[in-house]
Amino acid sequence: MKIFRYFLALGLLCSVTACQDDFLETLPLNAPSDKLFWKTDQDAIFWINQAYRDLPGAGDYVFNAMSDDAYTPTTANGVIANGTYETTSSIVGFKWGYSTIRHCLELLARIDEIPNMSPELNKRLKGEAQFIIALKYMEMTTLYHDVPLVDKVLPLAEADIPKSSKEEVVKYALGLLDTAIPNLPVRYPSAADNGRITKGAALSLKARLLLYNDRWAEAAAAAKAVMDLNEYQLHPKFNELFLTSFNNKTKEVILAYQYAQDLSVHTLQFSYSFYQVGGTGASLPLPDLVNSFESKDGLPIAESPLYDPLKPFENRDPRFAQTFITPFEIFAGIKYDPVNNKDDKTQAKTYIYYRKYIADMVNQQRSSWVNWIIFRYADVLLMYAEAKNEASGPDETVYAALDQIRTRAGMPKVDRAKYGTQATLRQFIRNERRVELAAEGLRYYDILRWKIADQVLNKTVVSFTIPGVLPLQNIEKRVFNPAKNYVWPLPQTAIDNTKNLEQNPAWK
Amino acid sequence: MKRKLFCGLLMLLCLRVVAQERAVTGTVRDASGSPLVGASILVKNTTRGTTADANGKFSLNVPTSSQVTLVASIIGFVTQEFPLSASQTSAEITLNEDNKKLDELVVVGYGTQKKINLTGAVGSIDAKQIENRPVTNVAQALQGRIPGLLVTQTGGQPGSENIGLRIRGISTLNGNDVLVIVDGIAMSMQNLNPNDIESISVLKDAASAAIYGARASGGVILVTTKKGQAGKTRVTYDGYVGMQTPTRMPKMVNAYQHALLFKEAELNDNPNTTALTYTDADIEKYRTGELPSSDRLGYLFTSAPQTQHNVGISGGNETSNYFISLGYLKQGGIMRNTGYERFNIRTNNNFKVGKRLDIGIMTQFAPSLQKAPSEATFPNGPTRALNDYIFEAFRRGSVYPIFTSDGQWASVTGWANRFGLESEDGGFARERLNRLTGAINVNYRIFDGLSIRGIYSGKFDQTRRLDYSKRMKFISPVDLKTVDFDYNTNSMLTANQTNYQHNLQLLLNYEKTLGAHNITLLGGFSREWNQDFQETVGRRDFLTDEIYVVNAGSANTQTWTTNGSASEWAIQSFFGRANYNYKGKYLAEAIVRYDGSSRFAAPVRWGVFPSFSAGWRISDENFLKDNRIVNELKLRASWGQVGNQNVALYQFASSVSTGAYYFNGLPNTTAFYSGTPNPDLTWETKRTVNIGVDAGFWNNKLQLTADVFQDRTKGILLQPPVPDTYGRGRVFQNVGVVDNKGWEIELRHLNQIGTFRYSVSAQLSNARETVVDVGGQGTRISGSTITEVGYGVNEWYGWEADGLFQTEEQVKASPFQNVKTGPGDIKYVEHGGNANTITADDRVHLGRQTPQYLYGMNVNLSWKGFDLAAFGQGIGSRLTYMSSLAGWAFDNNLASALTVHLDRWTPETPNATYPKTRIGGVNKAFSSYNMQNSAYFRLKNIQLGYSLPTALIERLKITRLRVYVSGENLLTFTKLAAFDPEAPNGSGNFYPLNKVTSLGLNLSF
Repeated sequence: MKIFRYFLALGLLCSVTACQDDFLETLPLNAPSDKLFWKTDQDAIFWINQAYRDLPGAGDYVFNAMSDDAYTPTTANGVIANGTYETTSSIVGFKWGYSTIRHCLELLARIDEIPNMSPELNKRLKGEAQFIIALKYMEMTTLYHDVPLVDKVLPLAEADIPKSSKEEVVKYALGLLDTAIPNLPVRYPSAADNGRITKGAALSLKARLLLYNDRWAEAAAAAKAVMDLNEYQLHPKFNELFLTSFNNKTKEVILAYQYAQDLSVHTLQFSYSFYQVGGTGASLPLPDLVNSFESKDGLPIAESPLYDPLKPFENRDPRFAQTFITPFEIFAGIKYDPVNNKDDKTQAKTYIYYRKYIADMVNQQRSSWVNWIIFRYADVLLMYAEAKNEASGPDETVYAALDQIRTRAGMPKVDRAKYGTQATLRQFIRNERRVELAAEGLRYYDILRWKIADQVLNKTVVSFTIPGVLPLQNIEKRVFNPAKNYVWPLPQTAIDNTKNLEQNPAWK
Repeated sequence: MKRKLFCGLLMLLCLRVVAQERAVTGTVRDASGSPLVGASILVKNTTRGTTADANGKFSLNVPTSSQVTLVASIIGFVTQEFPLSASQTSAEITLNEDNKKLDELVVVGYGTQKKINLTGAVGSIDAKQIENRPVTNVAQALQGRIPGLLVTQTGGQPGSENIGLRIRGISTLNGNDVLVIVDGIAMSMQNLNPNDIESISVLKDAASAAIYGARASGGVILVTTKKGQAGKTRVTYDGYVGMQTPTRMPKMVNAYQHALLFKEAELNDNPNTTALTYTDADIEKYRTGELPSSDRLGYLFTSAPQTQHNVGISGGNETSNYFISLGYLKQGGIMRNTGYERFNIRTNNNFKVGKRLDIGIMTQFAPSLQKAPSEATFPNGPTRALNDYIFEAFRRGSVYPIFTSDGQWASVTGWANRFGLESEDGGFARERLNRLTGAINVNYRIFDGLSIRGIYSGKFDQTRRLDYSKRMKFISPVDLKTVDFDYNTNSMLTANQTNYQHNLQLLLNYEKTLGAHNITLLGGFSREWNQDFQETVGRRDFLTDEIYVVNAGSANTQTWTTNGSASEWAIQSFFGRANYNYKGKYLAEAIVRYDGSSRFAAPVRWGVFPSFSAGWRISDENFLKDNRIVNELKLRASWGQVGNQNVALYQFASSVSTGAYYFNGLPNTTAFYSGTPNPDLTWETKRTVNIGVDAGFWNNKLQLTADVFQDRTKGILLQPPVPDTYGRGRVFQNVGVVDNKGWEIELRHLNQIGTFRYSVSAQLSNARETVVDVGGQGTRISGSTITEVGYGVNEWYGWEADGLFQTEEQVKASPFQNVKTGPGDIKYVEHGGNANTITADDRVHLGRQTPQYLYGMNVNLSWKGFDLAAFGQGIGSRLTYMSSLAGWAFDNNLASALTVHLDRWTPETPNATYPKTRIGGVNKAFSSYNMQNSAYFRLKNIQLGYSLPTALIERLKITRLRVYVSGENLLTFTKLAAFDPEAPNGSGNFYPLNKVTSLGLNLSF
């Protein structure tokens, strides 16, 4: 019976402890719970750091081949340019960015709870969040036009909201930027903060957002404000902007996605380089782009006496050689040979590769960490020139901005006589923008807003050719339906997950 | 103690009084001649008796004078009287199997019950149905055995077979895993030795599962291991050697076909293109063989040996018994560089201490070692998961050689060759799992009928994984010297995981018979908790590829990886069960369980799960008693409620996770919310009604068990889609209602004609679920599936295809699909929305995902020493979607095609199975064109054995010697194109299942 007593004792013990719910009280062992967060300055800094991960990065290279700049054999991304994409194509979700927006809105909603935070830091961190929200809305309004406008942390029950008009969303984004601009520093005192959002970055974004919405005078003013900061200047050597060793080392770059050796890397070298050095040729420049580079005398190749179709790579704009890898060149120690090397030949459908961003690659390099530029001063100058010309026609400030870019590139200044009217100068600026910013993922946005996509994307794309050397290859027929393809469909999953969200009319 | 002494004394007295005696010796065997160990032999109308030894032999003193009758009996056999003539001194007794099995016990929750007294729906199998099959995981042996239990095997990697268990179809929207309890401990069947299994019970309806409350909504599987039996020590050996080959494998097109088809596809996409990947000259070279063609699938998947050896020792006496088992399994992998080895050591011992106390101790140590290719890589290096390696066999065509002509690892598309990385040249992964389980079980009989039992059981898993990837060079197959891909970063990851599980139970049992009333009561308390810790460390750039310790790696801390995590959960329960029967005729049972779980926040933590059931044994009623046809008839009915707590841990709390961003190239910590919390989250509840019948005809020569059930699950734990504008992930909520209806039927026929015995059984079951409420946003579309009220769960959803376009005119006359659509492309049916275009609005329900009509068949024959067993299993209907590489030719510009894809549309072959070959996106959208019915029937196992006659082996002191040949998965019948019908939906990159032919031996002495 003694043993029975033990059992009884054990039973009692169990039932006593059972009443204490502690046994079932398990908190996450892995991570702090929200209850302990939003207490210190550091919490908010860590929080905003996360949002930087969603800035546009090297992955934006896929935009090249959505435009008339390049061709991609990759099925998933190629569908945009050849017009075969559907609402279910995965690429359509590429810039759908509400999780980033929510993350930034959380900071705006919670940061004031943090005790003893200096007003400067509070405003700066809010400014960084406001910038990133505005950037996401800029991307979305440009591609999808009308999108739902989320401007506060939404409870789940209230999250299924319909679309707002593009104008309304742009207005909201501009409002955020106007709040952020005065609160963001021109520069950060410590180099450790290189890569953070500055006043210049916010002004540049404002300029781009206005430009993308044809609000020319305001865009010119925003770009001018960047110029007036006297913080930025063109880097003397164009090619160095895209070398890893110049990450955060130039006065030209305003904002860049920050990469780091071993820790945070990308694979642009796979996408941009040719077979023999380990490339996949995922973004192959088209003759359209190649031929838009002038001869070094400043004349388009059709007009220049210096241009020789049998030696088409000679006597060109110095940026030509800094932007492209051309056949029979030695690159990364290997001769690129699309004629005699079977592997190179199979992959090099257009014969030309991008050099920009991978110029310092070594053979078979598998990861690179050159920063991806989001805003640089040359872009600001080009935005200023374009916006000012559109707003009020050519003037000396427009030419001066363009001349800075031309001079840095090693090209003659703008021919005032030849490009004396708003219309001729418009064509010049558009070409200059294409040449200067090639391979930087901006051309697709430009052909959409200029409404020229139905001309430049409605054709059969072919390879480059040199008579007798590089035979012309007929690559792909592209179709662009202006009634439909100027706007992306909303991702089908986004529609499927809601009741109130409607597909864009052209895609119904 | 006193009583026993008294009896002994009495017997002694008897012996003294009756002076004249003779010794009778004999053997007790079954109809096939096998000795019946432990059979009891009594002298009729006396207490005198003995038990048969390990050879079935017995010896007994009986009075000389009178005529005596021996009564021989053993569970499972008809008790037989054997009259002895006055002078007879030997008795060869043969017992016939008892088809009625009145005493047959079935393991139920926290105890056992007589099968005839069951009121719930419980299926069970015993050791015989598992024995001698070359299965490495116990769950495999359950496939097709129990009506209503669906076992799907979606991968055959030795040591990590992907086995899904589902009882009675789908009753929820999210998933409710089957609760597996091994000897009282909730755990997986991993590392369990099939030879150690005594029986497996499957608790199907809520009434039988409710005793497991909150975790029982998916049903419960109870595994019980073998125990020792009183009697002489018995030693058994069971073992086999076998050879495995992949079951049903697709074939890739050869290099010539690949090049030809690729060119055709390029021209289909862009009719005027001149930028062709393969020139006519290349194609000709592939045709003549001047350029090589590789057999990639044939390289990666080969045959491999498999062997298992098992030694068991058992025995015991009146105060103790023991069972000791030693097992060894070695399974080669049918994929290169994979394999598995396992030892199993188990002891189950029971002691009686005094009259009232029983103590049982069970221990198991099961160390295993799994060998696999390395999966360690470096940032932006080739992905190296096991699936990537299997994928590699499909994703690149036969035009890519595996080796250069001089035998080096060839580069593939100028990039790493994953077959090289997969091989031992590329590295290795070794995962050791040391599983230690133990239980101590103390039972004390307080007084007759009342006993208290305390059980502590524990499981300790220690997993250690070492993954080392070596440096490699991949050489151009063209010039044989250019290093196209230099994999010059070696790396190592070591991971340690420790898991502790503890379970404490206290049970009070009471049994009482008052006249015709039989009462059994159980009250219990249980507490279970689990802690898990894991750490991973890794380094890169080792000096040599020979030393596998972290310190040998690079000192550059930027390339180090360290990870650690931990988690814990607990569950606490009170439960009770009451059984009542009147004369064994009217049966009733009530169960209640009260569960608290750490997965939910305190206010919503506790749940009550009741059940009631009743049975009526009509065959015991006077009007049916002694009926010549019907000898057994029982009706069963039950109602019960069970729960499901199947959510990730800590869903009630919002937690902050960290990452990094690199300002100025240096790491900065980042923080973000991980997961979306819901503090109101609680159980989902399933209530089931079950009606069943058990019947036996013609002295149980024909037996029937049938059940129908209906259940409704409410408050389903679900992460319904959230609007993207919410900006955070899906949150677990208690939403949705699903009904599930089904039936099960099992027929068995047993008979004996002379020495020829046979049994045939067949079972069929089906369950069909209907969504009653989805909650949240309503209809839930997730990619190619939809969950909508009135339909099944996750039905296929997409465009309906109407064959292929044959002419331009047909294309023009139909709604617009795609700018490239032309003859030979799939034609989709317009169903609404914009009538001029095929859009997302045209998607429709394309059928159920849930497999329908599960069946199994079983034949056992024996004649003299021979026995033959065949077992087949199948599924009547299942819609499978094989996608990308497995579904169509050239999923992308670097992909290849299967030989089945050669049957494609061309102007000359308008009636082909597959559409016009494409590389671009056309024809690859999800539609009914890609759906296939993967119904199948599979001869799961066939076994032919021969037991040597006892007379022959007796001299060697052997009681049983049986040799057999066995074939597992030998034959498969299906219409699914190219793949194994058990293949999961998707791109076909799963580890193939195996076909095993083996030769085995059973020996006991």
